[in-house]
Amino acid sequence: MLTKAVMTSLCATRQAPVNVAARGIANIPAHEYHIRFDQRVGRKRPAQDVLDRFKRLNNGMWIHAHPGRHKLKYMKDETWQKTSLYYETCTKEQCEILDKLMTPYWLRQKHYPNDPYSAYHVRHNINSPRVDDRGNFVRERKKILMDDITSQRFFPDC
Amino acid sequence: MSQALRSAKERAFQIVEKASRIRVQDARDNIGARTTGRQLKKGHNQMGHTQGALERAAKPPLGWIWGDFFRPWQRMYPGEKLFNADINSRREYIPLSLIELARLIDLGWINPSRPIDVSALCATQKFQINPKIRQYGFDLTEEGADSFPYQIDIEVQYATQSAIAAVEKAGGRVRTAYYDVESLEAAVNPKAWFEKGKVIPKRKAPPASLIEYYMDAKNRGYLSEETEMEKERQLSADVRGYVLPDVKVSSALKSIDQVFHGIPSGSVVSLADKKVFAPKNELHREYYNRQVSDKLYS
Repeated sequence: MLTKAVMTSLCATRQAPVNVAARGIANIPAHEYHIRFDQRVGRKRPAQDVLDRFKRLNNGMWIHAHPGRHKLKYMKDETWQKTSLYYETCTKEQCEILDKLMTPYWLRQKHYPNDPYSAYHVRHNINSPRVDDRGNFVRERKKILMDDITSQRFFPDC
Repeated sequence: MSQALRSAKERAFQIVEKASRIRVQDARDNIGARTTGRQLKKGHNQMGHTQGALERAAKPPLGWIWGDFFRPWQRMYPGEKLFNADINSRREYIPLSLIELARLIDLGWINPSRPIDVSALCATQKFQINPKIRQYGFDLTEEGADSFPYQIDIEVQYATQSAIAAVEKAGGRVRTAYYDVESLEAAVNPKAWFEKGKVIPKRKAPPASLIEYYMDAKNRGYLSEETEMEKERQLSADVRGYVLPDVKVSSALKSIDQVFHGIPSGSVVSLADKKVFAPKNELHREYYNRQVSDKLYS
């Protein structure tokens, strides 16, 4: 015989993460309020949702796939078939949000040999400052023992 | 008492005598002398709901946008396996361009007449390698390959073809060699390793995905044949159109399981006594002298 608890657990429908009250005030569950922290380690956890969906390039830009690229493909034109497979870049504000959801490990610049994204780790024709307020390079790796002129001669775009 | 009897001064005294004593409460404005502030803006009438209450209220989580109540913004996008799925099996290398290497030699941080390996590069304190987060050593990249002047004997963990060609054009020697996590940890900071009294480890064989790379003479892998490597050296000189210099690097190569030049694996180094202690036990001796490196299960 099924107990009441089992019955309720079987019949329970999947609850929406946000309960919208009648007057349009959304009650957001408490676990969604904060950036998550690991209780055991005592450190911030990176948002796994973001890691599954986005990639951070070495220049600090985030890319994601086109949402809905597999939906109703047969109805859409040739240009869409082609361009929907492209990755899209996030805006500056979106990049800042995503950076806040990450840990220092993911904000580090990483170098992999034969990286398919190596062409996209550099930005071209950018006039914005190369360094941040602490003097660290914003979108390029630190070169050791090198002045700017030599660096720009051998690493033209980064 | 008649009026005529009294002077104005007497009458004043009489009035004061009759009056009650002056108190603090008597020193106040007449009614209407001052007005209280009127309501200037509609927002000032807040009836308990203040701006501060709104500012201090619980905010929606990061990424939550009005209109899409059921998921945060970042969950709107499709997952992509190519992005971060294989992060735990990827091997990260520290980029070391030829121009940076030339600068290190120019400024006296590295001695070009001695063999250059992970320990020599890390001793400059210019690189941070953390083997624990899957950093596997140095990647020799080709920036500055056009004008690399030094004849060096370098051992890196990864190298591009143009970088190899540039070093060999200058008369140098390149070997790509694999360091497993433990031996890389020893090589990155030998002093700490020696002071802990740890045994110098045997360098393990590369994992299956890398063994092909290190057995390829084209990459100057440390597991490939010397004769093959000589052929490839000549081939790349022919293809790229330069003449191989006659001067050859004479310094000895490390054996395939050796971490440090001149220190056999299995020994313990005492910095205080300036001595190297070899293992005495027959079993240990046999294990460390075997020229076959261990298989790595990772």
